[in-house]
Amino acid sequence: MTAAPVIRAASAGAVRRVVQSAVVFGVLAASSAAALLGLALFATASEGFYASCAVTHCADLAVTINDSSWLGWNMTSGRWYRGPHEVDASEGFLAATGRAVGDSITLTVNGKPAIARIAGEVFVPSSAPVLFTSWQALGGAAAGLAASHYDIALKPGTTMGSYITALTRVLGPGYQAYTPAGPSIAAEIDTSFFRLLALLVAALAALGVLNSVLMATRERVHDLGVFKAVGMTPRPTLAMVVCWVAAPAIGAAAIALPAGLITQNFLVRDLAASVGMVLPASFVHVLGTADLALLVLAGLGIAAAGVLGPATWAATSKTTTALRAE
Amino acid sequence: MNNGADGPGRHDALVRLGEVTKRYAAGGAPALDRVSLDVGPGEAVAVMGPSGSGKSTLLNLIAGLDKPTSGMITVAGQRIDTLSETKVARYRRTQVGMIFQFFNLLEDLTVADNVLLPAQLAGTPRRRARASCEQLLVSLGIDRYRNSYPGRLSGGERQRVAIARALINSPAVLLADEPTGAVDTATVEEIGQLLLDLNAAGQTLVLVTHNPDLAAKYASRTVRLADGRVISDTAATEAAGHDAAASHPDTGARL
Repeated sequence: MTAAPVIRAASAGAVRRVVQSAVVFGVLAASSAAALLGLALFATASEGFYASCAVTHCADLAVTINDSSWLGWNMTSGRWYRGPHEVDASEGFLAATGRAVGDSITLTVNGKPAIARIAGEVFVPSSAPVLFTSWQALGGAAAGLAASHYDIALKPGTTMGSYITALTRVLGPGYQAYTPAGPSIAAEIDTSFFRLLALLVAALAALGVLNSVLMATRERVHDLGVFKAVGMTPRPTLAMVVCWVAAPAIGAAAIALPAGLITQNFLVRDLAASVGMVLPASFVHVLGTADLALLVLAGLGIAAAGVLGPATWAATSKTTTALRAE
Repeated sequence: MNNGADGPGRHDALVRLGEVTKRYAAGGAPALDRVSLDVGPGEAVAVMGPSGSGKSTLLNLIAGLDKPTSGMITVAGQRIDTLSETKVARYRRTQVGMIFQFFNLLEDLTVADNVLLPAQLAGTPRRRARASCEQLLVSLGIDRYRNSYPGRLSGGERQRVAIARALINSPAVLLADEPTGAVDTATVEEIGQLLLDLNAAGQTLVLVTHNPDLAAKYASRTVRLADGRVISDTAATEAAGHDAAASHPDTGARL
């Protein structure tokens, strides 16, 4: 089975969102490869030549060759392969073969067995069986394997359009070079959605904090009136309200923030599980340390805003009004 | 009657209201309309009138809980209507003791802590404040509740706690807003007698009440308000009750 070789070029940013480079067995002429390598200089001067191709024994199995982690693949478990006898597999592959991370598999390439250990599970947003490995694990290009498709990251400053034009000119007919615009990991499972979800949950937690602050003050309006009636001056009144409110606010924040994150975690994992996906941690833990620090600061800000309003009101309101409050 | 100008005011008034007007809404009807009133030291003045006549407003103004729209209020020689919020709070903690119809005790504090609160705010040394508190609790017969919370007490007992709190800083004037309005009939007598005893001991008292019997029995002077104006200011006719209370051998002597 032969498919038309495909060349895809993308800027470094966009390229990380490419879903996969599914390449089938085929023959890539040496001249084409040489031409490709020549053009690849535009892309490799600083970052090296990024190429990945997949080789498959059958129509159902795609194999992506060489380190294609730069394409944005995420590990669901385990790690990216390192040695010549290691592979990474998609959930589809593991399910189809009944293997797990850490197991060994025997790949038969052109009739020759090649034993490899599964080093990790790569998140592929489909049930397709996909292997990620190196030429060495498959016996090398000398075993008759050839890439039918390269993913190329362009060096910063390289114009994608002119690069593709030049590449197409060099490759000639029978080859296709294009910018990936089809389905991508980002398109299928957009992490910004998870981020939004996380922020929504965090916002709900923040509202909970604000609510607890306001309720704590509201419940004590009458008490404030009593304190003022017996001679408490405005400044101690304000300080007292801050103290009243700070404790429940901090307590609520201490509960709400982790609860919000845990809820988000479960929600995202359950959503993925409902469509048969196991999401890698990077898809779920979308809030980094800086995000969490910002959330804590935001929580403190919300608590402060929630405190200062009622506290200022309490300090300046009429005692008779407060005394009438129930 | 000209809003108290012809009433039995005194030159050495402890509390003096001069042409005091209070409007809650600009352009609205005044809650108090050019009221002038003097209360001398040691007097027990009952302020009476129908609902909305301005009784509580009058008391709140004397307590510094509210400010008049116009006019002047002087208590113990200090003009209070011009004081800042901080200074009026200091005035409240030292010069007046306030007793409310619904007690206004802090439910989260024990009886002793409720009574001690104004003393703590006034900066009274802890030991002295505790001694005063204990003395008041004993005098008012509520010392056994010192560590109880107000929620566990009867209406009469709560009002005694409120009275103790009002007295802890030895205020110049004790202001009572319907002090028997939320207690049963038997307790009305108790509270009335207690106030009478306090007055007999020299405590100046301004009492707002709907109860003409209470006013007649326990106050030496009755000021009647209607529509924010003083319509009468007379000495109590039933002096007998007052005289009897003044000679009460128990709480009057202790307090």
